[in-house]
Amino acid sequence: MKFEEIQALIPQYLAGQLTPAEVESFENHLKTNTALRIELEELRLIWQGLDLVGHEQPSVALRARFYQKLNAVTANKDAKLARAGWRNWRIGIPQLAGAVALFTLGILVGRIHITGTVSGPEIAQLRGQVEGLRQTVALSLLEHDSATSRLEGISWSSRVQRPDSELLSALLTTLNHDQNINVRLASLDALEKLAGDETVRKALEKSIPLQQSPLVQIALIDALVHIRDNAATGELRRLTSDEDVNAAVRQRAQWGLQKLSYQ
Amino acid sequence: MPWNPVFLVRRLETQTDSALMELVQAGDAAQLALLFERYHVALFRYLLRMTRNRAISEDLVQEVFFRVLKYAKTYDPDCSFARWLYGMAHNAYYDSRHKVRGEVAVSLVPETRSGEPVPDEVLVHREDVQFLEEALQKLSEEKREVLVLSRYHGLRYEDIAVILGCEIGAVKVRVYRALRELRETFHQLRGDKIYEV
Repeated sequence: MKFEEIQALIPQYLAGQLTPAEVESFENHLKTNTALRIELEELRLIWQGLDLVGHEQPSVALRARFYQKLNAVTANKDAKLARAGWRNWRIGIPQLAGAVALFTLGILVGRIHITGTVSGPEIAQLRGQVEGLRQTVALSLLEHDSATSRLEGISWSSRVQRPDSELLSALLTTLNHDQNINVRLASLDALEKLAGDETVRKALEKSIPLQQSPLVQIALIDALVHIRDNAATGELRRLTSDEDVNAAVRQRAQWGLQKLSYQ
Repeated sequence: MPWNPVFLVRRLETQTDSALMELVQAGDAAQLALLFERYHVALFRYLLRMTRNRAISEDLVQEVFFRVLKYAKTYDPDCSFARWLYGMAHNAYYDSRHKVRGEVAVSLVPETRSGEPVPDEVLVHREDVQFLEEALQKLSEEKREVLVLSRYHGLRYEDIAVILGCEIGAVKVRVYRALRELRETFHQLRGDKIYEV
């Protein structure tokens, strides 16, 4: 085998993708070839370093939008027809919000055009109005019977920069009590982004014993690890020792405990 | 019929990707939800590496899953689902590339995981991690893709060869060259001297 061919095996060797026979052959070359050893160590450093990049998370809206579409695909056609009137009204809420926001913006642009200036307080007031509008839309949608609408509400809540206690409370209620698992998962995503708020962190910890679905339990464990909530270790320990809990969840809780203990 | 989440949860640990796809093929579109849960973050990261644009990457993830639904009948349950899925993602990315080129690339500032133990030999300084991130983005699209699929997505060379439509030997050489170039660019960015082997 040519030296270039042996060198080309380095990434597979580092990834553990060579067969035992190939590993043995490669390691025999390593014993006798200093240049190969040096290159392996240099490339190993880069290969391992890649572990430290590339951990970006998608936004809350991705999951919500996906389930919204999937629900639309799988929904019963007859039921769709029966609810058409309601849905048309519900779809109108975000559109109405957009229209009001545009109208408000139009007033502002008009003022700039007439006076040539716009004051800081006016901009702040406009932002406040848009923020309030988004919050109202989110709250309204979260109360709907349709899971699709509630997912839409969660998507709207993620556009609110500083949700007030009412919206936070609605999101937490959704996480703990919504009948639809995908709505609960989407609300968890939304709440994880707000975990800088101590109240939200505490509420996420308290949510663990309330969850029955392994899918949500695992997502909750992942969220608590991601936000590095060391105070959650007590609840995670309880999960690991509860025989009634799904095995995959117990395993994930164990993993979570290990992760948090490093921090 | 509308899908039942409880039914989905029961399948959390018991159903393989192929088994779920067989249900999707039989018209049970709801099973796509579990496949989405399993793969959407990984697909997002792959697409983000390629597009460098979060919004476009999220749109593409959605597009990929709805292509899965649309072309479900073409999936062979005896083959790797991950390979088929990444093939869809690869095609979706190249189909959208003309749109992506008009976008401003974003900086993917890495999240440091400072709390975790890191082996002494691994790059430990935040600055080094940023150089490595930058070096990765400087690789050609072809090299970046093959390295990302191999390094981050656990795909074997034979799977990558199918996804990219090339020979296994070509994958082997491309991954190696990509890793070498990454090392060289990384050292250039750090201002180090490089000693050729």
